[in-house]
Amino acid sequence: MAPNQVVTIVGAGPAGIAAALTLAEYGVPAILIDEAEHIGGQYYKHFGVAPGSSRGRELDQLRQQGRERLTALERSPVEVRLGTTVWGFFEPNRLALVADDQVEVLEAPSVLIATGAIERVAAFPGWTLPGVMTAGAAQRVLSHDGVLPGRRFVLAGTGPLLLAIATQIVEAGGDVAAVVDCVGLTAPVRGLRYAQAVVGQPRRLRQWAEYRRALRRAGVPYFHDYTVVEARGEGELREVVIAGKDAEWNIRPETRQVLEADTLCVHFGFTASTELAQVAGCALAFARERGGWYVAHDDGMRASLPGFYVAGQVSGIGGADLAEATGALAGLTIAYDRGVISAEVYHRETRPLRRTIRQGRAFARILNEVYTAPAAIARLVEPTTVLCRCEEVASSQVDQAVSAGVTTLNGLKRRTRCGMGFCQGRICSQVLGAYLEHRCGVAPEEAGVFNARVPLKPVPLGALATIPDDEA
Amino acid sequence: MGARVGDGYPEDPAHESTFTFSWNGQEIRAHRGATILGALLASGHRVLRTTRIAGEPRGPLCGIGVCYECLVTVDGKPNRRACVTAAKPGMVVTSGAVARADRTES
Repeated sequence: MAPNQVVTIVGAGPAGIAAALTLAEYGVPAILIDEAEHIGGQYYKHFGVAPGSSRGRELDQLRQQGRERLTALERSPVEVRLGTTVWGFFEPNRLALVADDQVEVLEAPSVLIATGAIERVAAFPGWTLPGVMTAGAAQRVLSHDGVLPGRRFVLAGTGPLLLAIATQIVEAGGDVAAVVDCVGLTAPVRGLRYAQAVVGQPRRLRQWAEYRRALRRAGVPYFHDYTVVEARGEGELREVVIAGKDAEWNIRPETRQVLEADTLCVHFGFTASTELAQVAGCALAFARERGGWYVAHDDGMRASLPGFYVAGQVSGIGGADLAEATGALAGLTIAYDRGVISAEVYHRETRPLRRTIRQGRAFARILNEVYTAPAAIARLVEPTTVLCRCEEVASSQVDQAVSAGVTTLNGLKRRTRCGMGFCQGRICSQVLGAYLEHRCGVAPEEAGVFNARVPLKPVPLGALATIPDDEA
Repeated sequence: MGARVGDGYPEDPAHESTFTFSWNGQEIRAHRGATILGALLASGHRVLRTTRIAGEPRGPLCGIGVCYECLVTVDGKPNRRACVTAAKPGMVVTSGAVARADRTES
């Protein structure tokens, strides 16, 4: 690979930025593309909380970090393209982009995929009611618009982010009726299995404890080993039914409670956004410790397809520090593969990154294995519960397909239209994976993923007409 | 810090940082830089469309442009994501019906 060929980085979150800055350091030209109008992905977007509080200091630090990265990028020769969606890949190595309804085809001899992750959701009766949203959605309207998406909240799911966002809602003046955690904070330290990884991350532990204290101070009831079982309301959310559960997700009926709320925020961790890697032909792999499906890669972040590299959450769920380390590693590998740096420099520069990555993955394993929705969460689903929201496919229709012998997501798509809607299965694939595994005993590796198809995101027909003739 | 909810944005003539757009014929006040979704939520609107088959109400789910639940019609263009589309002065936004993803101009 010629040293001066441009590297196209898709995704301007912590991983993509770290890769871009590393490439700039070694004089490798790079283009950094993101769908959002802002740089930093979902991580470097936070809203202001009361100055002086410790949470405020933490967010100030984040904002400061974000600003530093942004300044470094602005001073670098990296070309940044925001508001630009990558919607396809065409052989041999062309990326299809759309920005402002204008389509462009970009020669991309090497591509770094840093497309991040989306929040994991779960299906339960009433989860399609307006007022039920991901915790991240609530956080985003708070941070971006300074708007609380409701008045009285229930947060349900699991993981540290659930607590973090509950705290942010309280600090913004929201009334939080309950935080309902299907796991409970002490779960990983009950056994020795994860002890070492936990002890190695004191900063994270302090953070979690701080969220708990802040919520306790605000008088927010915290239920662990509980789950949301139903969202109710006529046209909009009015009530959330919660209940205690055992390890097999048997609901303890005597613990059922009905909470009045207009907003239910759900969060069950994250799932990697692998679609671009898929259409390009990069192999995926499945591991629960990585958060499910992720883009397979070697120890230098090279994907299975020559010229393709991967970094961040799409290489395994694990948070921003890990994402930045994998981004920097991918940048160094690209420089090394192009002969820009020697083997000696490569090994010296990557050694500390590899250590960070090792520790980060060990810790991420806890999040991905413990603080997640196990397949048994499919117990909450009733026959009329919609599993594919876009195409309005109920679980009873999925059951019929399964009775007819369907065991894969792509089989379900052909039979039921699951995954054929606007979101292209990004939401229902998670729900269906759990459903097939729990109800039918189909392993995730067997159920597979929906085939990604071009356009990865809907592109206006008018925009397609703007493709230059030689590309059409 | 108190965040706005349900009451819309206060008028702020001194800074001229707010403007209005139309939502199903109703005037909505928005801050400069707000998304359509943010402005609608600030005014207490969370039902953004009804579904094609069952006619069920839907509102935002993911908030980051992935789930396509918050589709609205903006100045006659159907299927725009309210969560990633900036609100602009005078914009006409309606809760248009959503057609099949594989058979429509989006």
